[in-house]
Amino acid sequence: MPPRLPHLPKASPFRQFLLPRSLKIYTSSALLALAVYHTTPIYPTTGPSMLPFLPVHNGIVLYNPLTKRGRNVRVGDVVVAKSPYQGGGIVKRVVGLPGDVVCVDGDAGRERRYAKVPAGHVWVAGDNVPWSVDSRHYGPLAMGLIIGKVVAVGEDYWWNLRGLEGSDGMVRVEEGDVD
Amino acid sequence: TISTHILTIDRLTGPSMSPALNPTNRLTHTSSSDYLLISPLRFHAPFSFSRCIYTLARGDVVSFRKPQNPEERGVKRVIGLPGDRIIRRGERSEFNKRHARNLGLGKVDGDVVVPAGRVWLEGDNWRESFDSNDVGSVPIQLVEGRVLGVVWPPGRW
Repeated sequence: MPPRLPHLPKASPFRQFLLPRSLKIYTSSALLALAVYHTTPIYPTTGPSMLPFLPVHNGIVLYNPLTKRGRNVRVGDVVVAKSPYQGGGIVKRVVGLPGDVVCVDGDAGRERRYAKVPAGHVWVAGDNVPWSVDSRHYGPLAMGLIIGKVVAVGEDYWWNLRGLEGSDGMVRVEEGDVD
Repeated sequence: TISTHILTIDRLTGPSMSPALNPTNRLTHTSSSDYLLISPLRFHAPFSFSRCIYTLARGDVVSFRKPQNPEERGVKRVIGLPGDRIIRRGERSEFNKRHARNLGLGKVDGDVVVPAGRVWLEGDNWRESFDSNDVGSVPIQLVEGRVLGVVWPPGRW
C-alpha cells in the first residue's frame, strides 16, 4: 500500500483525473451539438401561406442543402429561401423559372399583369394564395437566396416528417386555426 | 464551413472597384488580381468577426452573390441602405444597358428609394461597373461578407 501523502488540494482525484476529462467531454459535445445544429437541414415554419401543404403552427420541413442557390429547381418544387425583404426565411412554391412568363394574380385594386422572370431569379407563390406574401408583392426571388428544396414535411416533431412522393400532403384545418 | 463562419480569402477579378481594389495600370492597361480577406456577415456564425457586433454601413466593401447568376460572387461598395434615397446622375454605358436588358433586369430610372431589406451597391470605377445603377437594389441577404483588406500582393496592404 503506498504511503499516505498529506492532502494537497491541487492533487485531489477530482481535479487530477475527472475534471480534465469531463471538461473535454463537455466541450467536445458542445462543439458537436453546435455543428449538428448549424448543419441540420431542417426549418421550422409558421403561418397560413402554404396551407394545405404546411400547417399554420409548428410546421417543420426537411430540405436538401445540395439544391442551394436554385440548382435543379423545377416548377412545382417547394423551396426554403432567405427572405428578400427582411431577415429570416420563407418557404414558398416555385411557379416560374428564369425566362418564363408568369401571370401575376390580380389583387384588390390591381390588374392582372404578365411578368417575365429575369435571369437568375424564380417566381414563387404560396399555396394559400389569398394569405400569402410572395412574388406578387416583392417581385422575382433571386436564386442566390434559395437555401434548398423541400423533401419532407411534418408537424411538431422531426419524427413526424413524411416524404413528399405519393402523399397528398394535406393538413387538417379547423375554424379558428388561422390566428 | 470555414468560409461562412470564420474568414475566407477570395480572389477578385474585374476592374469595377479600381483603384481601391484591382487597380488598372493606366500605362499598360493591365490590372492585378487582389486576394481579399473577407469576414462573413452571418449573425449565427459562431466565430465570425461580424457576429452580433457588426451591422452593415454605407461605404463598406462587401462580397455578395450576384442576383443574375447565383453561382458567382461580386464585390462592390454599399452606397445605400434600406430607406435611403439614391439620386442618380449620369448616363449608363450602352454596354451596361444592353447587358441589363438581356438579363431581363434593369429599367431603373430617376431617383430611387431603397426598399426594405435591400441595399444599393456600386463599384468605385463607375465607368466600368455593372451594379445597382443598372439592375437596381440587391436583397440584403445576398450579401455574404465584408472585405477586411487585401492579403496579396503584399505591396497592396
